[in-house]
Amino acid sequence: MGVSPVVILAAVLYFVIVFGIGLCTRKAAISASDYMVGGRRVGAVVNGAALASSYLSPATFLGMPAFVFLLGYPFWWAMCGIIAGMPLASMLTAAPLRKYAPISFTDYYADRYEDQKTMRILVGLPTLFAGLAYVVLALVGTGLFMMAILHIPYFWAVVLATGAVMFYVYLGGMVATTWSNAFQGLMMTVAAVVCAIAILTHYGGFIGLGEAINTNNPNFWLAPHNPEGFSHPLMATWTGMIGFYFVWHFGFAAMPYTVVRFFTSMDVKSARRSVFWAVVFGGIMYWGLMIIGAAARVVIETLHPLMREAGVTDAVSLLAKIKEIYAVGGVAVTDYSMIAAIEALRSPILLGVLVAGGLAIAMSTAAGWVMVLNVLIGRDWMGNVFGSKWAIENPIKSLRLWTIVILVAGALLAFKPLALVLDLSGWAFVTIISTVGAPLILGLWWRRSTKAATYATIITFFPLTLCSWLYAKYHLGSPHWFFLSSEENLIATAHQVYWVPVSFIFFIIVSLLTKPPKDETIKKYCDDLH
Amino acid sequence: MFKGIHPVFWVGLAIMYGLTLMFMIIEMTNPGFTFNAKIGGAPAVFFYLCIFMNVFLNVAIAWAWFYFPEREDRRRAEKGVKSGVSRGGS
Repeated sequence: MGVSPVVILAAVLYFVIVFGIGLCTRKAAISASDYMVGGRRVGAVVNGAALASSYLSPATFLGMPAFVFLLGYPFWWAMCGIIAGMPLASMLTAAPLRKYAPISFTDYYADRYEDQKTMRILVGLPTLFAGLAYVVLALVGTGLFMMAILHIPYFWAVVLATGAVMFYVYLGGMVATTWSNAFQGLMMTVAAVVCAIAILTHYGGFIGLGEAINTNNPNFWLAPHNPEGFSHPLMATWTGMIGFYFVWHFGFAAMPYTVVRFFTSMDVKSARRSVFWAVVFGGIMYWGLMIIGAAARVVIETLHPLMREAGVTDAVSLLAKIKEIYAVGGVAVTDYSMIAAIEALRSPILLGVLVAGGLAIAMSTAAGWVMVLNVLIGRDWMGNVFGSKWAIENPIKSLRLWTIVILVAGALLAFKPLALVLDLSGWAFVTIISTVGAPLILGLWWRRSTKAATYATIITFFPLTLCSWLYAKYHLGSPHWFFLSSEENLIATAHQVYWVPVSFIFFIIVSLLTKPPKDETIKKYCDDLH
Repeated sequence: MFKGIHPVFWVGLAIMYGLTLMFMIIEMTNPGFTFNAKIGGAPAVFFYLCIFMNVFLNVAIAWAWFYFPEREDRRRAEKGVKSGVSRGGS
């Protein structure tokens, strides 16, 4: 397969627009407030599109279709669970946090729990780990799309991807990130829908596609507990399907890279409406991704030009071949399944639309997380915790310095990532929600939430989520098996998701046993925000 | 806990989780349902899951969760104006 001029043109057009936004907004980001929260002038539709594009990452665009490809139709429920979880934020966090109007993710914890230093470090630790995992997966995603466009080795694709994200975040901060993310939100939705319609048209509609999938892989349609078998061992029982439904479900209300977007909206009304628009963009895009993921195997196996050339007979072997050709290090082969499916349709225009959408979603997530992490380290830790005079007097320079450091660190890890992009994302979600989720949501809605419970929850669940995930991955072969189950009797619990409800119960119990903050603090940071 | 949250939140949750649970139970207790149950000749799951549950229901709930609190804010503001009481907050 050669390099297509149409695909390159689509990518060039995309980069011209994104870099143009970076250049145009560099003057808009002259104050620290503009750089960190976009001057709080962002309207609902733009903020909603930006929310959708930064929340939905390459884990969505590459990982979700790859997981549908691997696990069959039951994974559609996980995708539905992600979109269903998004509206929860409008009531639980968007409106109260916008009313409170902080600058950084850790500000609320520091104020609500009356602790300006230790709390910022504690809340920041899981955020830093999960954020780096996300920057890595976003750079992996951008690199894979660059590889599809230019047919260059994976190493150079990641270098190019890192440079591109660094350019516009460095220049424009949150202003550039918001406007480019809004454009990227629209782009990725269009890309997913156009590709899904192309697939449906190829098979003559839903009837033809359903039959084609069934002929190629009848197990695709098997629900858990079906006596005839299962679509994948992880989906053999209800724990697998329901577990995956909840892995990402609560993320929109509590993940730092979405929560900071509520700070950028104009007012409370705009914050709530942003969530609505994010659901519109996200829901439509997910419909497209469900179709592409379901069709990926049959499309690749029957239409991909490399199938015959490489002498392979199934989609997974073909993806392994592609991994070998482009020297993709460490990344699981199935992440490329969506791109391979569209390549198989042999339409340069379609591939051009897909890569523009893919670059959009990957770069917007990297940018969103870099903005969370540079404020966390450059402002909260250096300035507020360690009292660095340079960081306090030069806030934008400090943030820009950390933008470079974070992206270089992310790129180094992205050359040989530890896991499949959706696995990195799932771990990050479960860790963040289990550690800082309860102190945030219950801090806003429950007067009894305490500082001691926040400390205890973070200190307990950060190592628990990390170690149980790693133990299951390396001892049982997949992070989706319950880490204490035996190899003869494996129980599917996606990403050790049960820690989320356990952490909330733990937080409530410790809060009831410990001393609450002062009444005036509770009034200001709980009662008055409703 | 959750004092002051608009009642439409609980209604939305009941509808969302209720319908999800209902469809999941139907799928798991009727072997072959996902491919054999058809709408217009195509597997029904394309429509009830991918379109209705994934797009329409979520958009409707997201709409209700901004529309009803906003309506209440408006009513409260009107009452405040009539009685000469002003409310703070942006």
